[in-house]
Amino acid sequence: MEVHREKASLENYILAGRIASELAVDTASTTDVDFLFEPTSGKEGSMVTIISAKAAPQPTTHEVLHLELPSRYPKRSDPFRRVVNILEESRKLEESWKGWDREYLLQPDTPFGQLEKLRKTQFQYLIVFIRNLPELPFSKELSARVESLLGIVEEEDPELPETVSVDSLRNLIEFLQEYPTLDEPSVFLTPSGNFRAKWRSSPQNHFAVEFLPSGSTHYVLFAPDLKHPDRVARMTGTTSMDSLLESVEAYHVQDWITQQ
Amino acid sequence: MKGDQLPESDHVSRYCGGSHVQDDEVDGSAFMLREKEEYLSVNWLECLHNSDRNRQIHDLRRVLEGKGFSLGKTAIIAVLNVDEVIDHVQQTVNRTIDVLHEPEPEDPSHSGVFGYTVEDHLIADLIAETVNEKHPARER
Repeated sequence: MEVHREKASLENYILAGRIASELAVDTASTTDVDFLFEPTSGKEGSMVTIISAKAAPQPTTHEVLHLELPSRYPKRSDPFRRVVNILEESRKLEESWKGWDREYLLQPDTPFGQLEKLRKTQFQYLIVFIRNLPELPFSKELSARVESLLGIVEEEDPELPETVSVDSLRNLIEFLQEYPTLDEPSVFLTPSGNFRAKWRSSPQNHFAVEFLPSGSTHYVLFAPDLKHPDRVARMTGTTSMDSLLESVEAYHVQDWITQQ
Repeated sequence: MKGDQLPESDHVSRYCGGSHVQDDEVDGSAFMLREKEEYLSVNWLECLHNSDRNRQIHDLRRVLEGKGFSLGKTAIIAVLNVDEVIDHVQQTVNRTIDVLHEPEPEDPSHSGVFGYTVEDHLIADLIAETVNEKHPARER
């Protein structure tokens, strides 16, 4: 068994959660990889521990993975590429699983049953990650809100939690990290399972943004009309997360959603 | 009858799950359509009882529970006036929406807000602006 410890970055948290999620989703074709992720936090900073274990002991064993998690990925696509590689590697092994008892594989105490449980842990990682973001003055409140939202959907609709998008949450976090002086938004879930942040101080100052898993955003803006400030301009649009504030710059949105 | 326009002076309610509510504020996400939904499901309150709002809400909770809703601790039943909803959307973005009766065997008060799509977040936010009463979904 190999243990790798790396200083946590958002990408590491996401990757850890995503691997768990991807592999759990893939249980129809089951993999023989056992991942355990343990977030810890302390003065020395949050850490992600990833343990890659050898496959279940029969009928053959495979030493499948050796994960290296740099503290910061140069490109956002890299973590996903790694997941794809892992999955491809796993699929190659499927041939050697023939004859395995699938029911056994999905028992709660098997690696595969545990992977099912890990679907939820990807959010737990992000909740811890948000709570420890020093640059966000409302990190604790936001973390609590995300935790609360996940609890709410689990309580109200047992099927919905599976549709709540971890990538949408990642994008919301990245956006808030990029603009740490923004006011604390209200945060909701859309029927699609995406996170929606809203800044609204009056019917004339309303900016609501749904963060899509792809990195795009779907926004609604109510703001004083540029030429007739006594009227309200209302618009909606889809744009990349990176261009969002530039797209609405003419309406001085940043002035009224930024901490005074 | 199915497809009838509800009287403009009447009211409809929308069950707003707790993930669409924060600090007692109902977000437009509560009024967004899901994929493949043709209309927003609401309940015609005057169909449940003539005028007693408390009785309407009480009966509505039973109807929702009967349909399998797990009424959340933080969920809200939002009440909207039919005319205000239609008028607000028409006046602000010049779009016509309709509030039509869509009775179901186990829910005769069931109705729908028609005329917008899953992409129309702006209209969902406008509808949210017309909420004029909020009641806890779960009886306290």
